[in-house]
Amino acid sequence: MKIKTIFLLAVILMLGGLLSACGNQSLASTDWPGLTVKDDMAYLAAGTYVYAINLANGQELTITQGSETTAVRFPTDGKGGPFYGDPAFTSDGQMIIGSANINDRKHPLFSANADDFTPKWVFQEQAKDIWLAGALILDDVIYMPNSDGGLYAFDLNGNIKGKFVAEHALWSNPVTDGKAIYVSSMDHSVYAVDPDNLNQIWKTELDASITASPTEVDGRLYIGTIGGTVYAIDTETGNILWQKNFKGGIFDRVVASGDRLYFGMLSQDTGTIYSLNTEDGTVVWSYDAGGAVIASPLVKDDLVVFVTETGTVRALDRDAKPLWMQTIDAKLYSTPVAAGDLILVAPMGKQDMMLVAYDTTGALKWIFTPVKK
Amino acid sequence: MNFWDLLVVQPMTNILLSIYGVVGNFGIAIILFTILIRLATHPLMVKQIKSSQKMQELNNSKQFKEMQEKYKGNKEKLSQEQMKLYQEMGYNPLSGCLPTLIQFPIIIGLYQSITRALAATPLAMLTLTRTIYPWLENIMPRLSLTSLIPIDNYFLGMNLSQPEWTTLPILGISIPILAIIVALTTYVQTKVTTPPTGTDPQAKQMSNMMAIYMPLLLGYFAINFASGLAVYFIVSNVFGIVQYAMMGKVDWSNLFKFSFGSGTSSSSKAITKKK
Repeated sequence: MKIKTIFLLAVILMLGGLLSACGNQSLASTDWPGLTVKDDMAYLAAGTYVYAINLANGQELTITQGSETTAVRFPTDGKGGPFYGDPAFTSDGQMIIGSANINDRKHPLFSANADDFTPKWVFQEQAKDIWLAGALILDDVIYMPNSDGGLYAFDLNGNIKGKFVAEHALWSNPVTDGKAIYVSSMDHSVYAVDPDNLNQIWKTELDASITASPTEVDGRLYIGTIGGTVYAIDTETGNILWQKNFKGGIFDRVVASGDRLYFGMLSQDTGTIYSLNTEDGTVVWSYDAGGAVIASPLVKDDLVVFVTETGTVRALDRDAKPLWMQTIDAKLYSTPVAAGDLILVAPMGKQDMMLVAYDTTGALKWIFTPVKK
Repeated sequence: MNFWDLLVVQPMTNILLSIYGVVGNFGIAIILFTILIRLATHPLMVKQIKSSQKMQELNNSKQFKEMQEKYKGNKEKLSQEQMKLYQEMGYNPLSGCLPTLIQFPIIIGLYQSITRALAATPLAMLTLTRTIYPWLENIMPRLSLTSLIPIDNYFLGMNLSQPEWTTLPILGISIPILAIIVALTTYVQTKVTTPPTGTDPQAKQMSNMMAIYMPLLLGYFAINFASGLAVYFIVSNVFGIVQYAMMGKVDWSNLFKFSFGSGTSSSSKAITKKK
């Protein structure tokens, strides 16, 4: 009996350990960095902090008080995150970021002074779910999507002005052409919302859930779904102008540049980069990425830069001719971001390499490693 | 995808999602899936109960009691003789552990499949899209990835992907009702289904400790993890009690009994009488 009881107790302890390890959505390890470039700084939301990084040297912003130099991060105590969305900035110098902490029932949305991350206001206990996307700022109104399906509108003091509710979660940044706000939802639909009163203008149902933002260009929205279909939608009516299905899923934004669209696909463990004609969706070229492509490509001048899940950073020219390639020992899920002549890549879950900067020839410029607190 | 995922989590997640695809409610899908798993592991449970029963019989036998008396001051010798007795009677003490050992990965797999299906973050969603079998849609179109996602994770007003806290309307305070139910049902299940510990005071103490720690542990999980897991714990506990009850192995008289001392408990006597 003793052997059995000890065995059972060991099983309970193992069960406890394993459940703890795999439970809680393992938030720390599911970190999905958000990145915004503003002036000469990069703002990286990763894990439980937002970091301010000097683009000139990749060093973290610090303040010196007396003999002590400390890193300027938000929040100071590291409590409130993790953060997934891109930090957004208002005209009066606020940084807006929402918490993706499933266990925090208050679901806080934070505002802080962009210069030194001093907290300004917090909106909490009203949203029912986590904030996975970044805010859209239009005419000094903050539009913030939540996983509860709400698109919340705030004034610059954090007072709620209104709310539009989709049928399911909103995981991607809203976009605007100045006339309407376009937001995609996990409920398979794209919504056009009136920015003044948050009333729905139109709703267009697509084939699958949408985790990516739409791209608005010249009266059209381009958007991809996890069902692998790319759509062109008329912004006035919401009518589908054309649609094209590909094998696999599209997780991030379809990028438009000139008369071309660029996007990445994932199909189990392989990935492809496509270029389509904006007019009718015909395939101009496709390129075997050599690994699943989760993030959308960065199109900068003549470069199409994309990252793969297997850690490859590759640049093609606009005709899919390979130009250069770099590798990082990490999963790359976030879209590369351009900052002047730099191309910024945020690896996932790399504490010693949270942001990597290349120039347009692929030469490594700097690596951001957070200052140890 | 590693072997564990491939052999355990992926099949389980697909079964869970298939049930969801048919019934259209994730809470009900968790309930049905839990019952299905409990039924599938029922033969193992029966084997475990029989093994415990056999051990109980041996420990209550005249031969064993004489042995205890004889080697009162020599625990090592008693243990050796005990093992010898087991061998003579053709009983392997580890045979009761084996069914538990087999059930263990099933419980972990079930837990992981629920967490995976709830996919509340982008990475979890990415993993989920890779977990769903593409051929499922050939069986039934509503089991395709595009039809299954997004999962409607609301059940009885609760978001199953988040820990549950209910605000009491009059008092204005929030309490984790599901976690309390998890702790209570775990306590009840542990107490009424734990086989009698015989005359071994240490085993009795361990058994009583389990009745305290297990509800606390699972209650803690229910407070901190997705409430879909709390639903699983509750259904699993209640169905476990029902399974034991159907085999006549539930001892309700043991529910409020705590005995850390030596001697045969009244609960073991109750079961002995049933035999």
